[in-house]
Amino acid sequence: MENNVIISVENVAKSFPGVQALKGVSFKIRRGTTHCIIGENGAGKSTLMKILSGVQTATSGNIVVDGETVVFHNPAEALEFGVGTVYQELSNYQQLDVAHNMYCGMLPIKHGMLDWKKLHADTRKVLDEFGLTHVSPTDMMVSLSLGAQQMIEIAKLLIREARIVILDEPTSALTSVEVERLFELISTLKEKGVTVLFISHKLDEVKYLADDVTVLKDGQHVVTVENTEELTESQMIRYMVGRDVAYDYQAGTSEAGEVLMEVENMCYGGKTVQDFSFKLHRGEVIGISGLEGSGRTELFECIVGWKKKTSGTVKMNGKVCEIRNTTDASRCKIGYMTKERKHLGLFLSMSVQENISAAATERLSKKGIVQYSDRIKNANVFVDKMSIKISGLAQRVMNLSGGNQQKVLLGMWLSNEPDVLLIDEPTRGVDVGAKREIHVLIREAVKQGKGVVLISSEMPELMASCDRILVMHEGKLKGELKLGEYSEEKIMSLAYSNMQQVG
Amino acid sequence: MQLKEKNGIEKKQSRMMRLVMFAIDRREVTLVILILALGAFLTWVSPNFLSAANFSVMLNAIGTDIIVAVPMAFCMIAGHSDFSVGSNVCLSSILAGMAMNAGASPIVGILIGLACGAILGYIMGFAVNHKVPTFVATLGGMYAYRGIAMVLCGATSITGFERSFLNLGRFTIAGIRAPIIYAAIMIIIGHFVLKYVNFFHNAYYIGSNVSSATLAGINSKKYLSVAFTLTGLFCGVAGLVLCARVGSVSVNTATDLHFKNIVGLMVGGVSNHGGTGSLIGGMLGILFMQMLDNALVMLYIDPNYNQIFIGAILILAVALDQFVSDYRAKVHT
Ligand SMILES: Nc1ncnc2c1ncn2[C@@H]1O[C@H](COP(=O)(O)OP(=O)(O)OP(=O)(O)O)[C@@H](O)[C@H]1O
Ligand SMILES: [Mg+2]
Repeated sequence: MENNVIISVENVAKSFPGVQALKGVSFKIRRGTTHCIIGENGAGKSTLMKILSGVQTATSGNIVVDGETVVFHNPAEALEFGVGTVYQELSNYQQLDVAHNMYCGMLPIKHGMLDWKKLHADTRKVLDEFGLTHVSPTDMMVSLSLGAQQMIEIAKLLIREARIVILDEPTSALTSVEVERLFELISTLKEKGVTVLFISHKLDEVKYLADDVTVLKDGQHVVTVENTEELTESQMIRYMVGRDVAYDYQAGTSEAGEVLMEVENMCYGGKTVQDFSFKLHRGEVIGISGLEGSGRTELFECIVGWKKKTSGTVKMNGKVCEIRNTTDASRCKIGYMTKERKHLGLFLSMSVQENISAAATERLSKKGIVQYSDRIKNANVFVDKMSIKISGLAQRVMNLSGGNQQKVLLGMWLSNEPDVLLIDEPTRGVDVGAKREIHVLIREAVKQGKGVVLISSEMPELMASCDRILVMHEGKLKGELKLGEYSEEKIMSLAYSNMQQVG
Repeated sequence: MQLKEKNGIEKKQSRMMRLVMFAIDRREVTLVILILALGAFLTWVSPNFLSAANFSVMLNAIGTDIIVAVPMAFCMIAGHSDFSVGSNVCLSSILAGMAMNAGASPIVGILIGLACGAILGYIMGFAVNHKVPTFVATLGGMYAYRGIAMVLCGATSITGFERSFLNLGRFTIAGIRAPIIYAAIMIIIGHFVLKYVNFFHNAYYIGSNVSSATLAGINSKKYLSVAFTLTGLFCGVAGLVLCARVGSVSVNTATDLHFKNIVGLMVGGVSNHGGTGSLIGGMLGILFMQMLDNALVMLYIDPNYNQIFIGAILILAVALDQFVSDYRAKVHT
């Protein structure tokens, strides 16, 4: 029986200045299983994974791997022992190509020189094995979708013969197709006898993947149970939150008023966005659904002038807005919250207060003079409303858990009080309870006469929160669904429409 | 067993690290302590140190440096170090001096100096805003501006200014000399502006993450343009004050100003990566560096060693900065 256990976490505690992230956690992970770890934002999941993978060391307690007590001082040591990790915030070399990322630290050498041929051939082989046939070894990492990047990170671990693979919220930014591919990969890993630790806030995924589920709450271990019939999603929520959470994201609870924003014939980069037009009314939340690469994100980027549109106009309240850059967009009262919070959103080295104030510095100053008391008041409002877990407003954002960072980003954009807010993945990495709070906040803003456009790769979330859903396919508007007509099948059939006809 | 030992060591280390981090987070306090300690040491070595004359000389020397350092901090917090300032000071004061020698009134001379400084600074901002890496642009400016100065005035120095102009750098109020008064005004205004004026406070956002700042609607190009132009303008001011104080100007004026200021600011916690630091900290850093300089003189150390010293401290300051941010990333991700 003991032989069956690959990792045993024994009384592990970890404290940071002002926070006890883990308060003595013990549980066991069985060899060759997929073990899911769930819990609210800030429960300590990532911290535990970082201890397992050597990024941090525990304040007390033991980690026993294969019967041996281990202390890893850095991820390289852990990997040597067979423990590999893909972190919540991807940490690859964005400006290097795929081959260098994959073989970083073990580049093939011939006659004392880099063997380019072998490097590219090996990389090609691995990419094909992972079904990444469309990716070339010489592609820059930045140019790839998050999904592809994630696969490459996993491939990187397997080349180094990891026996234990830790995936910290790998699916939070993936489209459903990418998620499916990832799951296939996980099941092949399992066949090879690799133990997978998987963290996710998406309980359907947990239900689907897990052999065992461990629940953490406030740094404490709640249970470790086998994923049997009895373990329903609502049971998991009860373990995590301690109560039931309504799955009510408030679709259709506000009146649509006059037209607020009109986007007409938006085009970008040949086929990326083609002739896309839509109207947004005051009091409306609309969703845009589509596969990765359907041009959803680029559409947003063109509207706010982050990318240079080929043609197209944006009208606010019937008047044409000339938007060439994001400063113009903010003058027209259009805000854009990206899904890459780390690079395009937050100011990681700055405090929670400064981050929440960032997009509203003008509103939070009087005659150009910064009003610190207003900033603090405003930040506190959002910290309370979204129950952001922080040790104080002066805490640096880089020290927050992933989900709490996301909430700070949303707070920043809601503080800005734009007339139109475009949000790419509003609840990336946010736990079930907080998700609802976020949608309630978005709806509150909308009720005051604003308009919101959401992109989400989680269809159930989109259907539960939007008054209308536009489906996008290869840059074109494929159809529109009204509240009441929603179903995953309908959306999918629109999103895939052409492909199925061709295939 | 082994684990416990390791944990023990780690705890000791982390207590030490906490002290180091505290010293670095409270940079101003640390610097005040260092400055006092150095002062006490120097007084012990040479009672002459505390004399009004020595102080006056020392502060006089950094007075003009600080006039430039304040707007430089505005650039550095936004993530840009300007290497062209020394040459700008030189060129704009040479132009002003030549104009006055050619018969222009002091007022016209001053206006020419200020305009020249501002334009030279604006050019730097323009280049940076058009995707020329700051290092390259301002290093280019450093050589080009100095080159123009050499072409214009050759090996001679320009002297013979009117009394009214010279007074600009020589008046005293209650025994305090002009450059110190200018510097004090700059620091007070600079501190207020950076902390409370929204447009300038945004420098922190721009320096911390320029993409995020741009998405949040902060106009980073406009900011940089203004900050570089201001830096240039105050190079003009410093050039005029220096010229009036010394009574002459030549191509050798302010040759290592950029270096002294950047090192001082960095020692004071204004990181060259941007996003952090306060004006007061930066100024304390400059004061500290000047005192070290003074110390070397008072200890009769060959001035050539001075350069070794400044260079070494620059490298140390950068290394420390890097170490601290790495440490933060490791413990706090
Ligand atoms: N370096 C740090 N300094 C201070 N506090 C920290 C640090 N790292 C984590 N914390 C705190 O520890 C707690 C647990 O964080 P952790 O990242 O493990 O949460 P999590 O369970 O992964 O949450 P999420 O689902 O949001 O990713 C949080 O309250 C967080 O603010
Ligand atoms: Mg996490």
